Amino acid sequence: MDALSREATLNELGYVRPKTLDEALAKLNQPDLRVRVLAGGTDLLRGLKRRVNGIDLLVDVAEVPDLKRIDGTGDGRIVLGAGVTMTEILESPSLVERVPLLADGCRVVGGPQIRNQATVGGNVANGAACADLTTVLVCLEADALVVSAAGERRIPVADLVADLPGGLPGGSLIRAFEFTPPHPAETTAYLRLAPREAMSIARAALAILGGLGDDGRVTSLRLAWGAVFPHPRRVPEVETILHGRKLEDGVLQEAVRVMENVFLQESGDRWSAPYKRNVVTAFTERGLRQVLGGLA
Amino acid sequence: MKIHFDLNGQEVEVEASASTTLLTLLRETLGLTGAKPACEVGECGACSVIVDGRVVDSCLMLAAQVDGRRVVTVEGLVAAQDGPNDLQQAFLDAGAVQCGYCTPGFIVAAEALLARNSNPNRQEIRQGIAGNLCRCTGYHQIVDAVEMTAARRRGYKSQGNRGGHAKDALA
Amino acid sequence: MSDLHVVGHPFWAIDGVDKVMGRARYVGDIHLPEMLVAKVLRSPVPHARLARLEMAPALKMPGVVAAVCADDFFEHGSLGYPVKDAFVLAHEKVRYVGDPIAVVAAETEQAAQDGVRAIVCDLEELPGLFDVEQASMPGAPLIPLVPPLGKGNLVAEQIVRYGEPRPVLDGCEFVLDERYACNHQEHAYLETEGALAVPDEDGGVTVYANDQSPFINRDNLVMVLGIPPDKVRVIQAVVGGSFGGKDDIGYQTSAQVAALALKTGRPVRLTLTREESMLASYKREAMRYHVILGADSDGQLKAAKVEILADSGAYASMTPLAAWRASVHAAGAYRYEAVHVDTQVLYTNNGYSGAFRGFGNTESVAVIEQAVDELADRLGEDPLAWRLKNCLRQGDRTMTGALLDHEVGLTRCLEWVRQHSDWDRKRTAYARQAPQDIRRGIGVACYFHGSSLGGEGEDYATATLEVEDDFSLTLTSGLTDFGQGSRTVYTMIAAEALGVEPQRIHMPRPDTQISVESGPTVASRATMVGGNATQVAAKKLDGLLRKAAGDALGCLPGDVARFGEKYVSPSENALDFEEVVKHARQMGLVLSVRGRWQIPTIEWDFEQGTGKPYFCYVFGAQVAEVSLDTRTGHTEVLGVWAAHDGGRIIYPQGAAGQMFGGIAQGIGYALMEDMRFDRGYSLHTNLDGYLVPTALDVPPVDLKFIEEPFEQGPFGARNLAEPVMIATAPALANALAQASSYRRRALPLTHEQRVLGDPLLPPGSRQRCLTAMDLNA
Repeated sequence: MDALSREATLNELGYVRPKTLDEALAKLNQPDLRVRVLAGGTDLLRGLKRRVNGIDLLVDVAEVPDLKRIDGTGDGRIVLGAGVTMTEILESPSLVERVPLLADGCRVVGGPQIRNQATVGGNVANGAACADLTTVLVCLEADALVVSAAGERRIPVADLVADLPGGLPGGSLIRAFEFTPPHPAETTAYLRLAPREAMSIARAALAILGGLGDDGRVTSLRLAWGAVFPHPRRVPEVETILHGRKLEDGVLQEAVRVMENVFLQESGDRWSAPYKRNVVTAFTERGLRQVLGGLA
Repeated sequence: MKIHFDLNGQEVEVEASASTTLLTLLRETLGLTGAKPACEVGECGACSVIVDGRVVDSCLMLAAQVDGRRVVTVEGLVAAQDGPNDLQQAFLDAGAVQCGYCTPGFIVAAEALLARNSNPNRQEIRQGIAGNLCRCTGYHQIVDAVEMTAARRRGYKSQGNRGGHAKDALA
Repeated sequence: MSDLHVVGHPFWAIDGVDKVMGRARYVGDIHLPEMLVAKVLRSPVPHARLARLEMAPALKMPGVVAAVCADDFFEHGSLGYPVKDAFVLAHEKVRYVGDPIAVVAAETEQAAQDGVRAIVCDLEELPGLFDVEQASMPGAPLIPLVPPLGKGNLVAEQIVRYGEPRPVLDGCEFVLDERYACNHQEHAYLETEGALAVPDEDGGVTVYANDQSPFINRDNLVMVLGIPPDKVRVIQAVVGGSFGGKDDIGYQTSAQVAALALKTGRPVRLTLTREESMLASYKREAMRYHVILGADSDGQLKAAKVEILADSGAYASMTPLAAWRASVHAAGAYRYEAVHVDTQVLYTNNGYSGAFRGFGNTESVAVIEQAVDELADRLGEDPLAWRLKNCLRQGDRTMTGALLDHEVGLTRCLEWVRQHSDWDRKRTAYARQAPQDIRRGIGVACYFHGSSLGGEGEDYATATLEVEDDFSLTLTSGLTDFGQGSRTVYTMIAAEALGVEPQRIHMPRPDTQISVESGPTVASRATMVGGNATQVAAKKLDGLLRKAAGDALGCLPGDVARFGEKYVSPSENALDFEEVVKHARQMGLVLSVRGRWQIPTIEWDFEQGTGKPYFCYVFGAQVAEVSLDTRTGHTEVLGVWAAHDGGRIIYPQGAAGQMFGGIAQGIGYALMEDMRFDRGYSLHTNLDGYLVPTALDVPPVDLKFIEEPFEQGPFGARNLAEPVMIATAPALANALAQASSYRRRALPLTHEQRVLGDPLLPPGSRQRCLTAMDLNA
């Protein structure tokens, strides 16, 4: 029993709800305090009673207008505030229409209660390997706009999550995500496997985007996986196989084989690999067929 | 810290520590025990309340987060004469209440659904209550109750079976 | 056309108004002045000697008022039925992760938690036993302090002996010899266990508990507290679901708070967190079956030999009795010439097992219905048609050799589900599917289920009925309602038998001070046994009122007609209920009666494995249709068709609710509820890992109650709450077998099982369990 220790629970916690981004950053920028951003709270506040003494101050960013924007930039990109909730995304006609992949990712998260609170920024910053919105944003080649007292940096979401130990660098928060919406001629899909039809995290997810030229050859292809690698990521090894080619049987099977190898290389020693490899191959095949013309 | 908010149509001000969840505040400080603890990790919806028109899990919210907001609990959803409202009555008529522990959460989630969608089909109803677990009823009669209520509120008889499948079973 | 006015007509839960308005008071909702909160110290290891326990440091913590351990109870708080192997708090050993060791009462939950942390507890770990098949091998760690049968980890044995199957099997053309496994299942009632004890001024205590049986609770409290019965009162609070799960742990929890209340002189409340409930409460037993079936060349079943190994976990709880029910149902609802069943119940350190809806028959049906499906397949016969050929009918003998002398609606159930599911067309079509990724399957299962306790014990219930001064009626029963609607059913029965408006009847929750002991609310006995007792009471009262009415109206009691609540003479003079009551009182009649009903004696010889196990049976069949993604295992349940023969239905919405709810639990049991242990540590600690079906996981359900009348039930009713869950899992397993062309012979059929035939083992169980208990490795 000596080796087991009992950690104390949350003692006196501070809470503040800034009204502007600058105020929020000022609150975050207190190096001698352990400060965390509170967005939707659906990850952070789970099991609050058992959360260890790791937090001195919660900065609730729900009322920071800068984080709630859904805008276009001048040059056709979309800016999605990190504090936008999943429900708000689903209720935004322009987002649903222009970026159905984003809506697909939101629709399958949790249930209504979770989606009403959970934010896109929180989903990414929580750093889970299965994070649905991260997977989608990686497929969209989104950048995260990360602000701190030192200013703003643009970090591709794919790189951000690769470096995340489980929280952004102290004193910073994600302000927004920026990405170019898929071209109207491109097709997207979100394939997801979960043990039940609601309130389940993904066991495997594929956000896929594909486009064909008039000659039927692949002009664009992006595969982003969730829950099969340590963090959501693209698979250039597979994408390059198909660029400039037509989706014929031989090519498809080659892509599936390479995908399975990539999976086994990186995740093959995980306990779930013997099962997940089946899902990886199935989703690769179906996803490619779905976005590159003709369902399986 | 002081928390000031609109609770079921009345302004309230309470004192609570920052680490208190909204669920605990409602149940222990304000004596409203309708919302229930059942998992306390946002998985089952038994603690559901409505904040600014949206159904949320109160176990996953700090009391502090509702400062300046409008909160509606099951206790706020009564009929004028202090009895069950039409949705609650529909739950009774349809046989949708067994042990009743999950019921307040479902009532709240269903009200939130109907506020946004006055004509949900059965699949949409199921999606609207997908964040609420019930271990007793198998959900069927709960869906019946919500469907019946939606129809009544729209002002005409529902196309489906009123009184749910219980009648069919004995046909 | 029914001539009944209440029974069989739409009604609603009599306690429903409070529930829908959020006003129903469950244990966790009750707040009393001066109330203390209790927290429990639980074992973080599966098997250890309790070497040192020092409570004094806890008492020094601010806000802590008292703490108790095993020494604070009579005979160390020893309890348990049918095997007295458990304790209110651990004595000498801890035997599973979550085993309660000590309880602290304090002013706040935080203070109580700090008190728990301050307790000095040294545990010397012992080797653990995690595989039930090793439990009886030489050298296996010994778990009980006193082996119940003098044979190490053997808890109980059950046998069935009907004829001699060996020679019959030798002569059979077709023999199936396979092994099957069913996992544990977690009750996952939405309300966790809890109790609130309030001390009385005279040294007694009142306990509000969400337990299954207040009288058993009271008797246990008397025993472990060492105080007389008239000083202990148990009142059942509104219960948020039980499914058999709030027995033992309910009584332990009650005893813990009762002792603290008596010690402190203040009310003490303990409600378990979900993690505690999931770790500490008992589960459905995991069972392993070896099934041998023999059929002749015509496909007629001839003989069966079944061996069952039941994992009782750390304590016996009700597993010996569940194992008996499993045994006397193990070969299914079919005719045989000979059946032998041999069951062993063994201890392990995998949590502990006890009662859960179906109580052994859920497991047996899950297995035998897969086995006969495989047999039918080898015979080249349609599985539903094969069942119609072999299943029980009135006048047949069951697998124990007992004569079925009452109406048997099983074939009607099978025919109904066959027709309504469009079985014949689909079964054939799906057998001919092209080998594509997504394939469909349709499967069937049927069951018989013995009503009430059967050979388990004396089987009776008592109801009381009294007319109050305000002309309302108070009805009590010792049987309890945890949501399944028994109080509603009794109210309806009483109203029907008495000819009064149901609204006149008030039924308080069971209270040992005012209700009369009626045995446990288990075993599908509530409607029949409790309902009959209610009807007996109502008829007695009716007799008294008729006497009074006849006297007042100047006619014979037997000539009084009833129109609504009115009593009418042949000459058409009428009296109100109130007038009749007044007259009865003037006559000196006492309008307070007691009704008792007991199941006629049945004899089961546990030593010989022979006899009549049950007074009567209920029957049913279900069909399930699935769409399976053969590559990922993802399964969509397209529909379930369910028919149950439980006699007359008293409360229609309640009956339908039991069916819908039971099917949902069956879907969970079959497809997603994965309660396993990794070296004694539960894989899951909350509902985010242990998955039960959501509203999007249940399909459209068509259901039918075949109401074969049963004379000896109240208004012809038998029962249904338990058995309606038991056919769903095997129907799904059989549907998946058709869709996938694989038979996995294990439940649950998680994705990994469906695709690989191997459930795989996620790591990290120990860490999750320790975190759930506020500990760090």
